[in-house]
Amino acid sequence: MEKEFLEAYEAHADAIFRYCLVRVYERERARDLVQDVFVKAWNYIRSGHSVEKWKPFLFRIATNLIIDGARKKKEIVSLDIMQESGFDFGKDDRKHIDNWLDGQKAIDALGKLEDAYRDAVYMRYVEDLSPKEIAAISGVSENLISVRIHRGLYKLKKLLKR
Amino acid sequence: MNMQNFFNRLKTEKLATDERTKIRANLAQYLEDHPVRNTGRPRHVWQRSKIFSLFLTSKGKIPMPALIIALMITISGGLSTAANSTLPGDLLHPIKVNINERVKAILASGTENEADLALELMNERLSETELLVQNSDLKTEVVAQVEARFDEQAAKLRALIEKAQAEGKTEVAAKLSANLNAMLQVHDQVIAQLREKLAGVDPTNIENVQAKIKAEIKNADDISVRIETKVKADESNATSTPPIVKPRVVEEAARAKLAAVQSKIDEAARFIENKKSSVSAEAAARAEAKLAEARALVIQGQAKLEAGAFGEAFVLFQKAHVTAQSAKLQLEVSKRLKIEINDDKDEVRRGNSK
Repeated sequence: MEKEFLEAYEAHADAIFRYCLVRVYERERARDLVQDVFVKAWNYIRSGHSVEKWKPFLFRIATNLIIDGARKKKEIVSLDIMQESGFDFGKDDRKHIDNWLDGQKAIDALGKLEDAYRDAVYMRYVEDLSPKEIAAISGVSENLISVRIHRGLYKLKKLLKR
Repeated sequence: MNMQNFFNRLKTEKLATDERTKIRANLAQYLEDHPVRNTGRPRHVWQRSKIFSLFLTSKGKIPMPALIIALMITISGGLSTAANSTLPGDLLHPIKVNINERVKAILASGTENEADLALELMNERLSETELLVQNSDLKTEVVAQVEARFDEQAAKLRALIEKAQAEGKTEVAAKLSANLNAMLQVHDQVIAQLREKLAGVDPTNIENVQAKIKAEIKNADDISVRIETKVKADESNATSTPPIVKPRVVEEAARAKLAAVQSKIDEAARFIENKKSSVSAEAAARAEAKLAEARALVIQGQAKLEAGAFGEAFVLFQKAHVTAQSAKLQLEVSKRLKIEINDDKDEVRRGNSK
């Protein structure tokens, strides 16, 4: 059980981190969230449950934790404000400043979408989750997710053309 | 940036290596502290045990004499408690080993809990031996019992280390072998010192016990070396064949070891602080000096870690672990036996050669 869990960590930690980073903009918080997600996942397992599909399961936990965190803090600081206040995208394995700037632009653009569109587009095109899986994570119908993906993509294209 | 590049760029956003390692180490620790609960419904199978059958007739009724015996046992509820302080050769010692300790073993689940208990029981066996030596009670008829119990516990520990290694829990195996090594060395040293002042005990009896302890020290050393060699080998594989073995594995092992040794040092420091008022100033100072030695080893290990020499860092952390554990154990034995432990290796050797 432990082995399977740690393999799931190895396989999905980056994806969960990326998702949290896109949602909270803050590397340190995203990192803490990754740990919280896996702790919650382990608690779920140790209470006798089993996990069939790890990725949607972990995304569901991450989504709930982010929503809970946002409710508690009542503050989702915009990327612009954070950058103005000296927000550091953090140290990572990136070697080139071009990539770093592209990364900022990408997250910035995605951050300008409304939450519902952003999540749907992100999970579909960055994390390759199916509309059905996204629907399960978000707690809405598959049809609604398909609409959000379509509209979100349209809005994103417009943003990137500016 | 077109859409494809846009999504591809987002996909490259990852945790940094040290972030990933740290979270993994935290999770591994959490898993060990919070093992999977046994959620299966307990099956209460009615079986008539041999002991219980003493109280039953063939018709399943409890005869009056048996009820009286049962009542006596109930009244003498302190029997198992009384057995806890017994030594080999005492009437109640088999109750301590065969009942009290087996109950503990049944309750311990998970490799690490089992390992902690096995270490605790090994410490108990060695402490019993020291008391027998100190009280000049290590008689020939008791030695066989002492040796058999020691062998049994040593075999359990070896099996647990192998199990941890087989499960890929290198850190648990390393911690267990380090703690065992430190424990055996301290007790070996204490028995050597006690032996110098002995009267009334056949030296051969002590020599036999000492030989067994020394053989296990060598065995624990060999295991530690094997674990360290494996970590170093993983490191060299990682640098020579990056696509196959990730350097992260070795780095994780070193970082996990660092976390474990820091926790051990904190534990030893707290122990020394709590006990130093009840031991001599010399004993407390010796323990603190040993702890400082462990801290210095950690600093050296951290420098290696920063330099990327993860294998060497692991070895230094392992040494620091043994040293911190020794500091704690020496103080504990000093307090229990009311003796000053001479940490001079030459003295120990001189004691052994006599």
